[in-house]
Amino acid sequence: MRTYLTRRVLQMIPLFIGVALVTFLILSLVGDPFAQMLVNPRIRPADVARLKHQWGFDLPIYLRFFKWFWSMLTGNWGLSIFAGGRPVIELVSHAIGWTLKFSIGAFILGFVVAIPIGIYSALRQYTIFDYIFTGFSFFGMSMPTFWFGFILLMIFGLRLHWLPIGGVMTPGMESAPFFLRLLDQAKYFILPVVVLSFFGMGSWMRYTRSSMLEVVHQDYLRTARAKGLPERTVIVKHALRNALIPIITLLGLALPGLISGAMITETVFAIPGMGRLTLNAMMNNDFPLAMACLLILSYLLIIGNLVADLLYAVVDPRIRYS
Amino acid sequence: MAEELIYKNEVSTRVEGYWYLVGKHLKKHKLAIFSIVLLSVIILLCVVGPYFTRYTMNEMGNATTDVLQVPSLKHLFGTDELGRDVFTRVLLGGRISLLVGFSSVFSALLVGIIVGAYAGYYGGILDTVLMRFTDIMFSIPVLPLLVVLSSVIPGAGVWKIVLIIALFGWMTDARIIRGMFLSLRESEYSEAAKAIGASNTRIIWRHLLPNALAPIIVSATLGVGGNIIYEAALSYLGFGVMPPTPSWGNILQNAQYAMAIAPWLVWTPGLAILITVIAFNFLGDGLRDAMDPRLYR
Repeated sequence: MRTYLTRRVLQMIPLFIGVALVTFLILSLVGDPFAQMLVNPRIRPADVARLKHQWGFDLPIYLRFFKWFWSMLTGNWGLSIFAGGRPVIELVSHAIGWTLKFSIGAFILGFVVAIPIGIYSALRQYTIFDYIFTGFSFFGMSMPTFWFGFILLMIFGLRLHWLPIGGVMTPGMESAPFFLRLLDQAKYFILPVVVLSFFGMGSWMRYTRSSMLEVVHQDYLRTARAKGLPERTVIVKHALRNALIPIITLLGLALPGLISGAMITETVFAIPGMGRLTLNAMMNNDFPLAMACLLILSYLLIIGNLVADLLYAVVDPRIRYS
Repeated sequence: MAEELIYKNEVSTRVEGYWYLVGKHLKKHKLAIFSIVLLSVIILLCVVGPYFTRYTMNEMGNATTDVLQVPSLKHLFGTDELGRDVFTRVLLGGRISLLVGFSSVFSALLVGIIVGAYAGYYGGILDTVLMRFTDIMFSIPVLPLLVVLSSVIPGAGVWKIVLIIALFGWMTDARIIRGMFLSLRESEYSEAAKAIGASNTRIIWRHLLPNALAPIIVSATLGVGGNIIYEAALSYLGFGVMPPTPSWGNILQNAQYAMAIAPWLVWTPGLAILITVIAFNFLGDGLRDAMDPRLYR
């Protein structure tokens, strides 16, 4: 186990560097962010050249990559070019909080709904419940995230006026007592959490169902029943524990979808999170900020996958890694 | 009993090939058959429909009487803020969205097949390099990069969108095909082909690829639906197919500004996407069941 762990962690290092290199190259295709200033007659070319030099955009690309990567590693993430020159690290740490709040909520809601339903439809295969939930899961998988957001906004925000139509808190609530502030924010988070969780719910349900079905037809369940165990024990102790193992991989599989889903959801509901920050940075060609955002998101993905793999290895004793 | 069965199979005159059996299994999958019918109707409507509607794509009605009309017999899906007939635009948008869906899957598949097949067949260094590259591409969040690429690649055409979706859509196919090729290259018929002197290229494309087709078809079917959603998401962010060319995505994006006063503009293009994508997902699911190798062992 320990050798497996070390090997996996070591394998991640070239992946980290590769991801950084590829994103750096793709972003460099856009050209340096100061080029557009040359069009402006009010800015002297000499000033643009000075700015370029200050930000290091006059260096050859390989030098720029090494300099940038080294400063990323040493914690110097630089300044954002367009967000008033604020430190990237400050912008990111502010944004990531919002994203974590509602995406963890969505993750939990998705799992809490999807797994029991998946198990239930597997146990009642080919009944009306199974068909209804299967239809529901296909619905979830095929729904464009932002359209679902629009519809919820239209119904609960514009028609019924139950919930706010965007943002993260009511203006003026920043200094309210903790509990009131929490209640206020919860109101804003209901719709985004539902939209984002709906996105994964369908596929998680299908996944749980098929994983459970696989186990239900195993011989050891027949053995357990044959030796007279009550059905409840058979399902909970013998079937469920084995069916849940592959579901751990969902943790890793769900991450990419969650990240792009979060981007769309944040745009629909005007949440100032990582997704919004990344997209805005890309659109403004704000190189330091865009690179930092992309790198964080990709590294989260890689680490999430690793954690899922390791959990899988820990939970399933049948798997021996040498 | 068992002997009888074998005997019966032998006298059957029909040669039950793999694809014949797949078709037979698929026919039993009612939802998949329903999806095929539904998709045919949708495709037919989108391709032929616009020739028969009363309005053209960008025809604007009277500025005072035809703007933001609720759905009626005159305008089945209502009109938008410029007085354009939404029904006509949804049909035409369907052409673009389906075109993007199909052609991006096709291009991504081409890349995926080449990368996966050569990595799996040759193994060694080539495999390591290609698969590590695939890992890298897998670890980068796609959506922001699509945004960047759509500003880097010049032009505003449909083919640009196809290209950028394909550039980031080939990795899953590559992994599936590599996995298939890893086992297929050890098969007897691969060895036999080598023994009679077939070139590597011929073995890859003529002997091994047809045997890896089943998972490719499933992934392609699901991919069309997925890419239609991708196009819509890109359009929503303002980087998809550029107006005035309609696509389901940009009709929806356009609709969000009038959401409070004209909800019908949001419903119809979204439902068009939802129904089409669900049909592709059902079909893909049916195909996966029908092509399951465990059925034919």
